[in-house]
Amino acid sequence: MLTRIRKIKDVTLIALVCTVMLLFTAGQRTFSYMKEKAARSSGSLTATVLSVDDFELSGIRKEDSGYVTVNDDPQMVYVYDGYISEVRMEMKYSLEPGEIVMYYTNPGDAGFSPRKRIWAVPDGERGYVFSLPMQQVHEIRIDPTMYPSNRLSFGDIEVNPRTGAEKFYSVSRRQLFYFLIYAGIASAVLKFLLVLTDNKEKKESSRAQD
Amino acid sequence: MPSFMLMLIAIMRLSFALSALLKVRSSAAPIAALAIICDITIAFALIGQLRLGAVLSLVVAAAAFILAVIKEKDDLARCARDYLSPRVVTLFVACIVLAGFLHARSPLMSWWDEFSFWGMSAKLTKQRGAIYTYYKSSMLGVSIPPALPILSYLFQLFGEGFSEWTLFAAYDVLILCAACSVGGAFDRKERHMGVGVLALRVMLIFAFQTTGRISYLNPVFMTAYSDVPMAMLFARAVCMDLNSQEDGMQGPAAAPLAVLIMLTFTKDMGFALGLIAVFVIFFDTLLARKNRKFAGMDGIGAAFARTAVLGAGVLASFVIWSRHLRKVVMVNRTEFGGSESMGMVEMMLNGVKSLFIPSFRSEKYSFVMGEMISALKNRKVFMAGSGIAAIFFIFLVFLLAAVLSKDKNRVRSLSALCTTAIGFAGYYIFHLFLYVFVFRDDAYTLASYERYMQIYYLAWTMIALACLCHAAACDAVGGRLSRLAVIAMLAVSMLGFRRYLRFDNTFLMRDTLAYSDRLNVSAKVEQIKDVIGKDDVICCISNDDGGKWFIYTFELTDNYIIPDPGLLSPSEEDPKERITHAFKEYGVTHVLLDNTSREFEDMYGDLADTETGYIGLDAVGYYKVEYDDDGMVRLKSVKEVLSIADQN
Repeated sequence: MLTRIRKIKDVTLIALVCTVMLLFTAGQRTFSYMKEKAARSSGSLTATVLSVDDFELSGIRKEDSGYVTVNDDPQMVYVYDGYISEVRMEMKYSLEPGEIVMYYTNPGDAGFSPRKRIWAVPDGERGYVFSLPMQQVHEIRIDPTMYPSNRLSFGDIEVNPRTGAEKFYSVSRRQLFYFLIYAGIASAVLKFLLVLTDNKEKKESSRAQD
Repeated sequence: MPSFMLMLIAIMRLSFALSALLKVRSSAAPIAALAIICDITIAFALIGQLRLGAVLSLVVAAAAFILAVIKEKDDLARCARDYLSPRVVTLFVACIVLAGFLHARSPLMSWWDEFSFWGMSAKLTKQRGAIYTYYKSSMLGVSIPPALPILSYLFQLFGEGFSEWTLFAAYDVLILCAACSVGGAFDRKERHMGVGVLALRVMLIFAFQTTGRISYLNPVFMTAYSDVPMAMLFARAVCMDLNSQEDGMQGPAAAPLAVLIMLTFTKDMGFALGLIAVFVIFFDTLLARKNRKFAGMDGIGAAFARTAVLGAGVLASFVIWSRHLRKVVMVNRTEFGGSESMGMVEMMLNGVKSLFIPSFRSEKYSFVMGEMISALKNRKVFMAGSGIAAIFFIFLVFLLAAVLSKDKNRVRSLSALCTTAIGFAGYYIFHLFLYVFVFRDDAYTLASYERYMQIYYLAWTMIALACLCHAAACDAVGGRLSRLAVIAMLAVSMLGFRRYLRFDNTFLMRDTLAYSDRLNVSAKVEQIKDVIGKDDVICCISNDDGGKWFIYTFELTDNYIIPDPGLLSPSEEDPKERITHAFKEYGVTHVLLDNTSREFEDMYGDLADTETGYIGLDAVGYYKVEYDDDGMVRLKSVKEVLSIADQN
């Protein structure tokens, strides 16, 4: 049996690894989807629309014409206390914003930490999305830009906006790229393990060396 | 993209010819081909014929390919099979995929020195069709050698205008070609090991460019900085020799020679690394080589002759560039300038004397020396820790390689360990001298220490890994264990990657959010571009650390741009007289204001003829310099944009 496995062709091995990884990923995503669906129907995960006035602002000044940042670390804090899987923010900036991040705390956390930080992914012309594995969140803090004098025009800030399955089953170029790389490396490692346990090969290769 | 592919194909052709005609190992051939093409172009660039040289090098590549095909036409299938090893195929596929990725994402340069030299020089070289010693520009550091800007030029030879992604792709091709052959010891049968080792090398580059859990973009594989290319060329030159022991010496001597010449032309430090590489190669040839025939000689004489050829290549490259500088830009390269402005020889003598005689040390010397010693354990140079940790890890890999192999291979690992360690000591002490004698205030904080050291640590690790791979591939005894060690290293570095870097900090993930400094300036340039004349000499004044000035020089390469001549520094002089004096001295014809301070407004605000008031962060103003009847400066508004956001 083992000898037979060892004789497997490289292409077959790679195809096998790809299939297993694909099944695993699909299963994982279906699980998340089901979990979120259940949470939505039980009412623990709800879609909420917030406006900028709901947030406690620091480093951001309200002017007649809108909001302007006054230092290089403007922050917007909101106490949410509930389940979150995604936050989407609509925003127009007068300057390029630079890093846009969201920090969050789980119940019982002492404060915000770099370990619980999510980078925004642009979505459409003005949208920025922060997504995280669904979990109970106490507070969120959005740092919308790293520049002072940036004029901010807020749109809606939506919590858990998307309900459809496409959020879980969409495949980005980046994911595809990583999939291929991981599959390649995993196949190489598997092949290595197969060869390692093979005594015959060893003898052959030592003979070749002589 | 067509220019990029053209160049990549030229590299493939020439490397096939090298592999077929000179019997260079197929994994080592691509980097040798790239270095040869680059060296030819450099030679022509130095006499002001960059374009001719580039075209000629392509012709040489094509001619060599045809020659190889004609000469080996009976045996073409075998030659092609020898050449197209899985590693080489993977390499070229990886180059094309990466280039496609960069083309689609079009990342931008974003770091300081990309604007001050590394990106700027490449842009100038492309735009003017000549290297930067031949014309006046706002760029600093004209004395830095031109290998990398020329490489970027080659990959966009027929393209329209300067393309940043092509530059990144060109340097990545260099890095991957070098990585492909570092430790290229596994043969066709073990392609899985080849793939694993290539992945490990890429991971190690990340490991030695990242010192902790970072929040900002870490532009590995998309930077114009010379650090990783230089480290890889250095490692390459050494490993090319370590792996070529079964081959005859005649052929492969040309390959490391080409790489060493390119290394010396990469940066001033490339010369030092080139000498270290020759030193390592010499002892390897002397002690660990089975076949030592060279140029009709055998034994120790051959080892000396071979080293002499390689060393002469490095020295000649250094001398040629120095002579070029003296002749074309009248710069004496051996004068370091800097805080002590002493010559190179004087600096070395002084430095060595101070090193051994404590009473000779200046206060700065003692302080910096103390800092350098403690930096070994306090400063993080790679993901897992300090220099001491890195050295421990590297020694471990070398020793493992020595234990798991036998005979000449064991000698090879030990000789490489000793010589590279001596090389490291030399490199470290040389940086001590640089900090003491060249750096000014930055010396006390050991500015850019991590960057400079990572170059050597990265190359050193690559060499250690090459020894380990060699042990794995050549000896059945320790083969399994060394294979296991390689795979274990891969697993650990992948874990490190996941823990410290995450996708957010790599080139795969990023979008324009990472380039905001750059894009904010670009937006302003876009607004005032139409009123800037070709001959305008511009004084750029901005209330920041000087970074903006660099970005402006990069964006406006056609103009000569001078930085703020210290208009706000305390002085007894009347502000008006001072600015007039400064502008006349530099021949300033125009002024560019970007985010001026209130202080500037108070001192110079009334010089302008418009009621502009304050030029804020998202505003920009362009003014013509005129002189009134008293000979004092007046600023006549050419264009003022008070809010970039409203314009877009």
